[in-house]
Amino acid sequence: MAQMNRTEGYPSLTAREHWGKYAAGVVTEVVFILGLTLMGYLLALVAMVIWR
Amino acid sequence: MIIRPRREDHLVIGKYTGKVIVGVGLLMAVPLLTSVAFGEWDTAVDFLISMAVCFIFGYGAQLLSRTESDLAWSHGLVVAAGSWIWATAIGALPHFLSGHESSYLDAMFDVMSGYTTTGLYMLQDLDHISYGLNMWRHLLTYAGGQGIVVIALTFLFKGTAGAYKVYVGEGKDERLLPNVIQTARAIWLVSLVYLGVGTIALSITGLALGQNPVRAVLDGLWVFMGGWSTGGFAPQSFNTAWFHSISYELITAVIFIAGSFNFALHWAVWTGERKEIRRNVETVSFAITLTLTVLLATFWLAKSGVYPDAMALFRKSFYQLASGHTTTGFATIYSRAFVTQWGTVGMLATTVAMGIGASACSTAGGIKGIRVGIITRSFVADVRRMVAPESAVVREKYHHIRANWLDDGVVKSAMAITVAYVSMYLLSALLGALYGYPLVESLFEGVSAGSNTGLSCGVTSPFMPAVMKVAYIVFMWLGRLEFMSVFALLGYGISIVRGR
Amino acid sequence: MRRIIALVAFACLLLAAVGSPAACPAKTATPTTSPNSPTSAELVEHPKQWDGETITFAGEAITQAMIRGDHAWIHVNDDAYYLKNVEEGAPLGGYNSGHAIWLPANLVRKITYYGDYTHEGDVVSVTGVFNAACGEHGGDMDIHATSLDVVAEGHEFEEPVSLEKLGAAVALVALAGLLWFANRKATHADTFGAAGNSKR
Repeated sequence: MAQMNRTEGYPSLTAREHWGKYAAGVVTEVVFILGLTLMGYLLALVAMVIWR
Repeated sequence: MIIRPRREDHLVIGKYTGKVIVGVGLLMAVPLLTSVAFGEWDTAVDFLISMAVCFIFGYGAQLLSRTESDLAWSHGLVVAAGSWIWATAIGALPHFLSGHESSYLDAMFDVMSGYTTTGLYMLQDLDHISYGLNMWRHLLTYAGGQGIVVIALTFLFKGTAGAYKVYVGEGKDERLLPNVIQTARAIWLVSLVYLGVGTIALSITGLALGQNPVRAVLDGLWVFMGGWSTGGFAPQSFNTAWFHSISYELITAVIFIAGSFNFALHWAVWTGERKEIRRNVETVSFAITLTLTVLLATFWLAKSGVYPDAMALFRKSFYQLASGHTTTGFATIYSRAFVTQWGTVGMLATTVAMGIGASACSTAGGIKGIRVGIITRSFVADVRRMVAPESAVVREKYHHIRANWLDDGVVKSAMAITVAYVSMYLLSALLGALYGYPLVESLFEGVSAGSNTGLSCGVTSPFMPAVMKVAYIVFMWLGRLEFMSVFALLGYGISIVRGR
Repeated sequence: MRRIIALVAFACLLLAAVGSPAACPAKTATPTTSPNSPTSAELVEHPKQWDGETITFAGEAITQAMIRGDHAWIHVNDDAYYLKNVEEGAPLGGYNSGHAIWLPANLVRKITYYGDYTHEGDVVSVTGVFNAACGEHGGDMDIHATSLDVVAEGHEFEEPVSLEKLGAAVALVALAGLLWFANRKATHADTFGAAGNSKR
């Protein structure tokens, strides 16, 4: 990891200034996935209404 | 004309394969330390032996193959495909020495299943294995998900231009950053951040669910590794049904779906391109096919009245389907329940989901969303061309990180790989049928192996015919490396014999 | 033509391999050693038939109990290892197989040992209602037990390290170290010998 800073031309991937963006990225992904999950639940509700 | 490889070619391949195997040996330090920490001396000695064999092979190969030449494209492919075979053969030692495998072939099956993030296993009496061996099972699936070569790239290859060629051979061809070593590190960064967050979330949930602290943390780590890598190994024979908790199911679903995303997508979203997640051809394709297969399975299960209420139906149907579609293989139902409760339609919906798989350049397997997206788009373009006036020029685009033109070359290669996958699936179904398994079951299981999923309906077992075990090992290997590098390795073998 | 003949021969060989008695489908599943009737496998195989029935199920308690309020989850295996596991030298007999049991938390206190790497768990016998898809537990297949008896107490054990294995380990580690050293010297010579200082 220490070597990373020495690689010329690229800013360190783990620099503190990036953390905010990374966290926002994780949140975006989690929200998207929970959206898919909600879709699964709604389908189950509809299915139960039709066949019960 | 086939050209026989020269001595120099063998040397280059030997050298880099040696480096990758040294990487596998270094990886074994983690389970070794785990065993020592828990005082599992017998397991610790198993890992000591296996590590030593890795180093003997790795350093031996490097000593015998001293060369200054760099890798060419064909070498990269051969090293990638070959390394997986060697890493499987040697990585199987701890499994075999544990006494839980009935043959070395079974041990190799488990390790190939781990590296390729499949999740089928032959190991018997899983509920009585050591912490060390469980760590190895999950670590190798986590490592295999990133790619054994990516690991070696990160730590062992020093800025060689040839590194990229091996990286591509492993079925990952995205450059997140201009430099391949930086790309490998960015992949690790994403994986490690999720490792931290995911393990903490699962461990806390495990504690709240009544697990003791040691087990909660270890299970948290292992289940994370099994999920993120879309591998599907779990530390207990009950798999994720063990936890009996909707929270645990939701967290694992987030982990395995996130794990099935293209690393280039992660990187785009993480660096501020948040819209990418709903525009990307792969997430769109995944969302559509997941919805359709969940719809099919859910309606069928509701109609056949297997589950008592909507919550139960959702928890079983969505979880199994999402697990199958991301090619993970976590299950909260018994293997045989696919046959005895889900029935033909439920199994076929799962089979289709598994066959399609998730994103390219992720830890997932299967045909992949990008190919499904491209082929659908090109089909739509053809139809549009038919109805458009003859003079009109119809061109289609698809969105992956940026807008890309859908040219014939892209469509052709997507089609070629798709045909290869479908042929493999059919072949696997035929093989199972030849052995007397019902067609639906042998198709389900064959697709599960070939798409690196690992859901089982009970065909896979230590009592399965050896020919099928070997075939599944090959299917897992082919599926994970997306054929090309395996074919390059075969070509290399043929050229040694037939070349001039 | 030669290619076609070769291909056909190859296909015949493959089919012969598949059909040969040596590779005969061992569809004989795990030999039943379960003390139960129905066994764990039979319950999964015929869920409808047993749904809602009161059954008695015995086997080894594994890993740990998870206490949730006044109830708890335990997992009980009735597989080939419920009396003696592989680490203790039991022969391999297929996958683990068992069921999840939901029962009052006070019953769990009767259990001393849970099966894991260093323990053979208590053999317990529970009686309760089998649910093919439990409404209370998100569709899980489980048994809601009202009674639990410890049939046989488990025990702790430690797998000894054999001397031969230890000897092999020492020898292999020594050889690996030697090769590492030789390789280091060789690479060092390559880098600094001919080309001079090529440190990146």
